[in-house]
Amino acid sequence: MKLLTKTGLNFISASIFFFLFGSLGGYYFIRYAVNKMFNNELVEAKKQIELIDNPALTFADVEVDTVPDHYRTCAPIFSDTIIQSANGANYEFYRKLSYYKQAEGKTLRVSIIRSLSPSDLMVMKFTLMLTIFPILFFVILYLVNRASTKYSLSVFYDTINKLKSFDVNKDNRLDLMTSDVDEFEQLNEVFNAMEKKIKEDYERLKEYTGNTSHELQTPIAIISAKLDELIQADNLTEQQVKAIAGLLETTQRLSKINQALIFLAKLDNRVFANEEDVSFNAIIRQQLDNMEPMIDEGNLEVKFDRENQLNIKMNASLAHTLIQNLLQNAIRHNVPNGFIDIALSDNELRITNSGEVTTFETEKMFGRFQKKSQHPQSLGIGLSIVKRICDISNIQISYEHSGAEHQFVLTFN
Amino acid sequence: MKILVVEDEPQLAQSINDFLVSEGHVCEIASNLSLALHLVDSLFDIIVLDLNLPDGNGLEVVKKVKSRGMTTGVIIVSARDSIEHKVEGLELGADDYLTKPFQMAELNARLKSLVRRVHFKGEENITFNELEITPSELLVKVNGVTVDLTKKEFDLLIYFIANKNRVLTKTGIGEHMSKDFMDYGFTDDFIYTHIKNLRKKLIKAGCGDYIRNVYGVGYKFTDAN
Repeated sequence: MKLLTKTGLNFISASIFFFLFGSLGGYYFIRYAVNKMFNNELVEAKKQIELIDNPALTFADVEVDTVPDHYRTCAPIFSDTIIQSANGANYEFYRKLSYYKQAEGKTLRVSIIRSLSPSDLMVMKFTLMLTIFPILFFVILYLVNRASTKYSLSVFYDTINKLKSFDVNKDNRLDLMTSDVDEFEQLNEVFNAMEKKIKEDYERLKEYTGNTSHELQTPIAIISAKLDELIQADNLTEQQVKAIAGLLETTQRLSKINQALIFLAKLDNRVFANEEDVSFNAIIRQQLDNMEPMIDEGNLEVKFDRENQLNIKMNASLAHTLIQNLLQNAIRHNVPNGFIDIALSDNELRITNSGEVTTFETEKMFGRFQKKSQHPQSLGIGLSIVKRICDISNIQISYEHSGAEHQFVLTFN
Repeated sequence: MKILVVEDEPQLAQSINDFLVSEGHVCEIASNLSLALHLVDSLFDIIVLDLNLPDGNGLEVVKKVKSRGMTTGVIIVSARDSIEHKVEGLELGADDYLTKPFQMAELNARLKSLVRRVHFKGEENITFNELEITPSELLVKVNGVTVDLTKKEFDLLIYFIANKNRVLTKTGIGEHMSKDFMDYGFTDDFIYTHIKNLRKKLIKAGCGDYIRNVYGVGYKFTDAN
């Protein structure tokens, strides 16, 4: 629940509660005050009647009955009563005072009534006022409060949005808004400092990786050169040649991993910034030609519609590396007599290949050094490079497999 | 051929030197920039140049060679492998750019190609027994009959002949073949197919079977038994 909704709901429920009690209380208070007023009036009327005290005189609103004797000692009673109007159309509320008096040896009950209808209107108006004004008041208060909170929170939401899209790899700064609310200002200061620290650490880490990889190149070059020298000797036994070749191969592998890491570091450092119009159709055709021997070797069937065009603005050398790695992947993880299906559309490239049924977790697919053990030739870094290139070039890549079919989908924006 | 090796790493310099001498070249080593700039004056055919030198940037050597109008060919050998560095080096007038670590066979192939370009203007034909290759026209003839090879196969053949009688490992050949765009996902096991096809085509054209398998670890191009 949003903070705004939460505080709003709290406010509304509290308002309704207090408003309900407030107006009920108000109503009864007015009622009480009006009754009190009528009682006074009736008492006043009683005094008048007693002052005049002429049984011959009758009043329209005074009724005199003879009642049994035992009522004599009863105290005067105030009560509400309903009387049908003269024409019988409707009932009216009356306030009544009954008191008893002795006259000519009989006990008489004198009832004085006063119509409540004019005051009823008053009470109604008051009650209405008590209802409508608070409602209006609460609504206005709620709206003003909401707007003001929303305004104050805008900085907070801005911060959250910027943090959400924060990518340590991206070059842009966090650039949080300034706020006149101290708490938010403090929060943003903390985030700004944190961002700076994270970026600095990340830069240092990248630099470290880059430098290490670079420094490794020369020693690897020396090892490789010496081994090459060694293997040229004429008097080596088969076993010795194999041992040296194994070392050479391992060194080469080391060098390739190292180069891949340097390449990744370069990707992270945005070395490949210059973009141009790249035709994926052309690149795929070129790469397929390059890989023809391998495709023939596995007797793979390649389905590729050479008519469809897909032109994207991106770095050409990255596009080549991307396609090459994806196609290599499709070829090497294929099965004999399998297929590779390459489908190009306006903004999509799908590469589907047959392969073995795998339980490889889809999410792990693009991680570094994730590989299947049965492919000793794989360095386990190709797809992570593919992923990185996609990230940089604004391409969405997804992988899925169903049974023995594996599919990579690249969506271009 | 008189070659100057500018390399500050003594082990690597020695290896390059030994290799070049074994190939029949005359070699001198300069381990820093000032020595290299000094030695450049005594005309070399080719300079193998490292860029990261303790007392400066190796590109100074390229500048000096080119400003003097010497015909010396320059191959840069550097651990820096960004396009920018390559372009910078080549624009200054270097003839080739090799990224460390490299295989001696690769350096050898580049050297030979450079010698052909610089000293023979690319006109020189390569011959090996009944094989005759015209690099400028991508033409291969066996006993005077043209053999139809793909670009990769042609490249492979040139590489083999440049490094004849040497053991070439599969990985080294793979590296040579995939120099345009790195395939980072796998090591190079695909060259086997290329070599098989090249061998088939040459034998079919009546050429001797010069590509020998060395214990399954590599290949050797030789006519020796």
